[in-house]
Amino acid sequence: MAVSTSATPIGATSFPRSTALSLRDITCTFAQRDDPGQRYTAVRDVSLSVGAGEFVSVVGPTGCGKSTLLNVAAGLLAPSSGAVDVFGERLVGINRRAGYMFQTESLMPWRTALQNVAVGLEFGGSADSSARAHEWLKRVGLGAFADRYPHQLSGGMRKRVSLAQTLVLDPDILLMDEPFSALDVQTRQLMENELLALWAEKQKAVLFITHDLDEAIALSDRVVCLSAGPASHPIGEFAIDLPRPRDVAEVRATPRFIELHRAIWAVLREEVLAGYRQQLAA
Amino acid sequence: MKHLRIWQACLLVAIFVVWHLLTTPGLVPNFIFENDRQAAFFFGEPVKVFAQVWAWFVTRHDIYEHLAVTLVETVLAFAIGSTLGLGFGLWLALSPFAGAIADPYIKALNSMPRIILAPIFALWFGLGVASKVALGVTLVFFIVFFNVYQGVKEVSPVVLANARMLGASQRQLLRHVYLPSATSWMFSSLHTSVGLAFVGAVVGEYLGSSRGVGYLILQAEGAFDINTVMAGILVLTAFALALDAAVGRIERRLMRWQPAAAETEKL
Repeated sequence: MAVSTSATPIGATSFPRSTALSLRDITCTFAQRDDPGQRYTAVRDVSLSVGAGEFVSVVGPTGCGKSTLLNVAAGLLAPSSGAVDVFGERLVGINRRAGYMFQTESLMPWRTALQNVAVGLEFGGSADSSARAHEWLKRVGLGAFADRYPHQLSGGMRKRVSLAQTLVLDPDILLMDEPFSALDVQTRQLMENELLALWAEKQKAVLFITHDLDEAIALSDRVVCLSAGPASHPIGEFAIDLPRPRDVAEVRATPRFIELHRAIWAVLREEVLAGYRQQLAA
Repeated sequence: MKHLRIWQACLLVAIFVVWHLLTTPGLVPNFIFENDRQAAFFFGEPVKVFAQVWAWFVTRHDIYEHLAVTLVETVLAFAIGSTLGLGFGLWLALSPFAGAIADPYIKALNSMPRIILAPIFALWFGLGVASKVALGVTLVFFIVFFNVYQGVKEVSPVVLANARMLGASQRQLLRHVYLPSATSWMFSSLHTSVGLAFVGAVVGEYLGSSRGVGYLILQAEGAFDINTVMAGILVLTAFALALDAAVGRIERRLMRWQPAAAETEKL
């Protein structure tokens, strides 16, 4: 089985990639507020890097600290130890070069779809925010829904608004926390294909968190497996050498996909079972 | 909806008819009072009550001055109390240190029966409008304050994190995230607080004043004129309803983004 532990993905060796995002020896320990003696280490000594234009997925059992890692990369959470470098510079505060797509509802309910997409541009003091936001709303297929409030949109539409809201700012790094996990299978595959098309066009560095191995393989250049929590850490790294452009539905039927799936699942299975046992015991 | 209004009107008419039947001397035999004038003395007679209202508004035109005073007091108390509540709510919710220090004092002030402050306010601010506004403000402030405080605390952490990732500064977070979230909570409290502003104004007038609807009621009570007292209460109720409707109208305009219970359009 082709298990690559090198950080350089296959297929990217033809041109050198600069590192967009680099997590170095990240440890996050949370102290309980009512009992500071009780500590919980979510992730321990995690090192992870994403090249410019590279699509990296992190998979792991539930509760293994995947979102914690993403929050550290976003600068929303300061790690207990370790450091984050963004394009070679040490990250302090919010990661200004990154866009973040959250797992749960993140739109402002008091703003229309258009106003939500425009809000980042407004924060930055852009003059033509409304026009640019409308352009992106059309690109995600919601040009006719500009004046709708989030509660008037379906779950899939809200995700598309979120995507436009993040991409309109043209970030160099995209952080995505199970962004499509709440969607039904069909909508999800549409969104995944849309994401791949937008990514192929702009070649952004993507750090994609998911618990769905199929999704991770279908989208990524590289898949990183985390162990079960507490103190989870990477236990395997796999280069995904499926040809691009891919269709997420069709690629799942190819022999290479099945081969990769089997190899990664062999590593992941024990951890998923361990995570499940811990949740049962708790 | 049309039928609902008709039924509501019918209920109102029925109440007045029963009131009329039970209080008009000689209309129905006495079963509680010995004298058939006593019911009218204690509960008033609707016809005379309406005659009084008619005289105030149409023939003598002498209620407008009092009504204007009461309404000005109410609106001022409502506006000042809401603004202070919003400001303090935002401030104490966003600065944990100040919030922690103020917490026991806020709780103490809130649990204090503030109506008893009315005589003190009369002493401080005189018998004019200011003392009634002050009383109304103490009633309105806490309602709005607690709702705004709660509203800020309940801001979705994901929406907040998202706004920060989209590049919001502290000022922009306040303006675009905390304030809209807090106002949605504030509006749910405005119906209560507009009523309390009214209570503050009337109780203040009742306890010491020379103008206002509360003053009219006090005067009538002194003369055992139950019909005028009832007329005053009716007028106050009607205006409280009107104020409440005005708040509801503003709320519907500003809170368009909130999901209604059922929202399908009939084609």
